[in-house]
Amino acid sequence: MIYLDNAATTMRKPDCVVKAVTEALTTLGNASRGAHEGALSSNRVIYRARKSLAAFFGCQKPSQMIFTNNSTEALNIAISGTIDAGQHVITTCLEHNSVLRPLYRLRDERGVKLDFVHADRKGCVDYADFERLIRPETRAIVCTHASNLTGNMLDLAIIGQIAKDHGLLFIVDASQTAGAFPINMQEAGISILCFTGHKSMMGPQGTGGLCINGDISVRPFKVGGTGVQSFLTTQPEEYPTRLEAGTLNGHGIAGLAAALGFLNETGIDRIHAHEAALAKQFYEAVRDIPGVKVYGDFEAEERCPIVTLNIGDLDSAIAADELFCSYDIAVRAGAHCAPLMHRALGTEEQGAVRFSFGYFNTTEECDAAVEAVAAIAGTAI
Amino acid sequence: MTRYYILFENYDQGLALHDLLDSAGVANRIAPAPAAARGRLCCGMSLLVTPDDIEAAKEVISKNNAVYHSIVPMEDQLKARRDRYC
Repeated sequence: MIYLDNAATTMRKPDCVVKAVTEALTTLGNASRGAHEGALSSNRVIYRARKSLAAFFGCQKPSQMIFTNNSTEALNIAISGTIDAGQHVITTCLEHNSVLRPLYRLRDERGVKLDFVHADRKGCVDYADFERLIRPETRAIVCTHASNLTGNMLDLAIIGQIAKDHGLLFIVDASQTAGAFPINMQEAGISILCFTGHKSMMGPQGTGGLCINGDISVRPFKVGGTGVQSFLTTQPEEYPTRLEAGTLNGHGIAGLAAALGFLNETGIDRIHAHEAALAKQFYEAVRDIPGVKVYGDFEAEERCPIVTLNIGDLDSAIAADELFCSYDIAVRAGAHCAPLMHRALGTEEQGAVRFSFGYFNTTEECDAAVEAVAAIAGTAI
Repeated sequence: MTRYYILFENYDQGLALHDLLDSAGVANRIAPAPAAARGRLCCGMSLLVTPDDIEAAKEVISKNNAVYHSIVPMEDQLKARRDRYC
């Protein structure tokens, strides 16, 4: 199978990740539950991973690098834990449902007001809109670093400066960019950075986290066992325990730590250069195929290695089905959990076919995908 | 050729019916749910069944009270290159 669905998850992981998870499965006890070697071995793995990830993202306090199961959980914690009834939030039309649904829930349950920075037909925003939408009751700007549909990126430094100038929280969904691009919370003015471990970080599924800057207080999203302060009737106040009720995914975190080691050793610039070259090769080959329409801004200096397209009026699901059944190429069709972005692109009815490239893809696989698209374009009725 | 897409609210419903159809020997194949057919069922899976097998599939659904959303006929949008059911 030619796997070109890396924006969903990087299916192929570095060998060191597989090895780390395998070893962890037979060596780790339950972190923070006891002081025997089994429990401590897990504590040590998690403690080191926490420190490494905090350093990787420029999070000043490692204790405020909170582990979660994925970006969605991290975003739920960040959004529901900092925004109160009656407050106002600015977000964008580029967002994934992992941002939109938590915000819609606050709108419905707490009367939180939402405003959206719109995107044009190329999926681009006007940064001045962020400032224009600020009101006295605005609490936060919540936005993605990159669209999972088009691969277009937002300039975090610009938005972070706007948030800083107006005393707003800046909550960032880095699902598509963590591990692929350097992200420094301090330089970008990020209040809370949410990430997943299984995409460009190349770690196992079921890993992710949020990094909280400074002295921001985030209410617990869930409460329960922590292995410490057992006679308290409430969740302990201190980070990270405050936001990490229940047994952590120690096995996954061991794999994520190994993945981070791989990224640092290999160099994320080198990894991204390879992925970007594949995406560019693919884009330049398919854009002129008759009937093919490509979405997104390909003139931008930086973008995720994603090329999303449609072939004539062919239903995107049928195109993806054909790619898999006849060419053994795995891509993602449909709405990609990004309803507002599809609306902006005018692809609500047809959906779109997303090709997303990863470090382990090759130019030969890219060529095969181009040939398949050309062949399907020739057979679409 | 018309193809029938059985649509579901979620993957669990779809995989459950896939198992039932397989057990009953009714040819079917998991496919992405077509954007044109699914309406609010975005990003879902479907079971693809030929006209020859759709009545048998409906019998299996009825007999097992299988949960599904709807059955949608659609004309093929590609020139017939292959139709593989497994």
